[in-house]
Amino acid sequence: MAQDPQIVEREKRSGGCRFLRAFYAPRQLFEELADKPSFLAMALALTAINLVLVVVALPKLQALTLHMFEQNPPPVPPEELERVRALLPKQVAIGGVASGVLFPWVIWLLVALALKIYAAFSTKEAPYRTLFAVAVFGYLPVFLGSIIAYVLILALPVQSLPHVTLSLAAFLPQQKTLLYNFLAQCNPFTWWSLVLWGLGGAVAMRTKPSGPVLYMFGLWLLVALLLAALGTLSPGAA
Amino acid sequence: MSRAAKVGIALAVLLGAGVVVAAVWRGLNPPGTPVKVALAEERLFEDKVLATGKVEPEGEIDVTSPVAAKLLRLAVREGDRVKAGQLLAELDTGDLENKVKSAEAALAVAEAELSALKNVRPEDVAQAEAGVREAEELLKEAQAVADTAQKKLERYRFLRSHGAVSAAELEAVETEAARAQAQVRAAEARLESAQARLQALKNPDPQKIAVQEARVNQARVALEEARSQLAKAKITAPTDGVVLQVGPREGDFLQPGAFILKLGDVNRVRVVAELSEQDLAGIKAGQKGVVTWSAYPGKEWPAVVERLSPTVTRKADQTAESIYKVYLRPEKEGLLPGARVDVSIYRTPPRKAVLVPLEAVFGTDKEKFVMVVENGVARRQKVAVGGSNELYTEIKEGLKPGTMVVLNPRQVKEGERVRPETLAGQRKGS
Repeated sequence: MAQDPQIVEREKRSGGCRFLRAFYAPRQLFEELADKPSFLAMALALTAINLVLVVVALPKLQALTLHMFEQNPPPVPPEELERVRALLPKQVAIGGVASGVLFPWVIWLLVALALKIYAAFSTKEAPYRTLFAVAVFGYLPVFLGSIIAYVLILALPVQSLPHVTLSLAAFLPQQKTLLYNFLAQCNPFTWWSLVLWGLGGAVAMRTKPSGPVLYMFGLWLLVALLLAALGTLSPGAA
Repeated sequence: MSRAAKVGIALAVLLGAGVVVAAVWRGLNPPGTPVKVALAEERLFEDKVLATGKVEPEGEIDVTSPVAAKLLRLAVREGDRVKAGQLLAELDTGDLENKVKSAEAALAVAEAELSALKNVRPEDVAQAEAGVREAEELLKEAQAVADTAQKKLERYRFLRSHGAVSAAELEAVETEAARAQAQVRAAEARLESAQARLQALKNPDPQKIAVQEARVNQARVALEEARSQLAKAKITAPTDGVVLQVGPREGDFLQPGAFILKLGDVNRVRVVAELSEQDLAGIKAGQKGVVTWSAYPGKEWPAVVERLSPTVTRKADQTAESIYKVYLRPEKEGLLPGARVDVSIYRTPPRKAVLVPLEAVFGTDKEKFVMVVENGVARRQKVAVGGSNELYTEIKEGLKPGTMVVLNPRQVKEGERVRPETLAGQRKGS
């Protein structure tokens, strides 16, 4: 039995092409994922690259943590402070590697779950596997932002890093206001991923993209406002 | 793709690029470490200790009961001015007067007995001599009777040996002779007694006189004691002053040492300030102070520290709070004894000085520094410091008024870019 020529054409454009299509032809990519939701290779590749980036930037991350610790030491006795300082590099290494591996997977799981909930409420059929694939490929802009962030971490002096942010807050002087903390959540790379996740979810659910995109932005807005409020209220926040 | 979508994508790309560029720019031009700052200011500097205190009269005297007696009459009331020696109170003297009379009688008896020992009357001697003579006569008579009885006995014994008298007759004569001998011995004893009495009258015993003299002295002391007690029953003022407090009421029975009244001079008062233990450093006699009293808001009594307590004491038995007493002499009248007052003692009298907040100064005992902000950069500046109070440190050298100093200097390094976060409002120097 002869295969559909369109499907054959899509299958030809697999692997690296898929990765690039997330940036210039996302709808096409998500239609392909709806037909064949393979994501494992991409997910593992992203995890591995993320891990490598963490390991490469680890000395700088440790130095940054120590710098911030010295700038705002916790209110504990001096001997306890010394003990915490000695443990910090090890804790940063373990935490950095763990988060480098786990963080993308947690995000993908949550995004896929959010889309599944939307599908359930809008009575659309969309397999969780397909939605997870959408979450993995829609994560690419966030991943791109991470790479830029790691480059900045490696390139800039440690003292400068606390002031660096890849968000709209970069246009304002550092301050402890709700607006500033909210703008610190407004990352264009996150927005880009939100659009892709909404679009991919719509393709998987065979519906118009406006609904899932607005839904994803709505969820983000809630989380962003919550984080901004916490950042404003917490005593050590700047 | 529609034109609007293309424009949207272009704007999004521009926004993303702008964010990245802004992040890089901020990374290359960090805003500096946020620091709290203040300005060095020339202003009035003083270092004073605040405490509460109590006004006490100078030379305060408690007048107490010298004896156990009932308070018969109070001759003064609270607030009365009295002169030294003036009657203050009278105690009931009924028992005391009786005691004096009894002592007088005892003395009279003792003196009479002594006089009798020392001064012998001639009639007494003559009487004693007559007694001796009478005793001698009686002795002679008794001896004559005894001699006769003895002869008679001898005769009867001869007659009995010849059977001329019966045994019963001999026995009766023997009894008569024995009685006569007994009368002789009684007469001899009486004579000895009369002679002894005569001898005593002619030559008195010095030992007896000494004993009697001691008794007289004893009676005299007892009388003086009784009179003294009687005199004490009239209580008089030991010094000039004002009656500050009266304790008992008329009719109350007082034990020896019981409080009756308090005397003092309201024009000569002192203020006893109770300082916290941690405030006593630097407090010396001669320092100036100011006393204020809530009874006269706004009015001040200048005072001078006169002396310091040699010990730290507990405020009350039940509390663990320690206090240090400082005695001040007010230079104006008007404070009433017993008043609770507020006291300020100046360790450093008010003077013009360049001041910075305490937390701006750091360093060692030998060298002190402040971190000044010049063109957004922190720079360490050596300074010579003077006194300090709970808020400010006096800068004697090394800093001009108006210079911006960092309030958390240990968190910034020499040459570090800093961002003055808040210009701390200079608190009122006190």
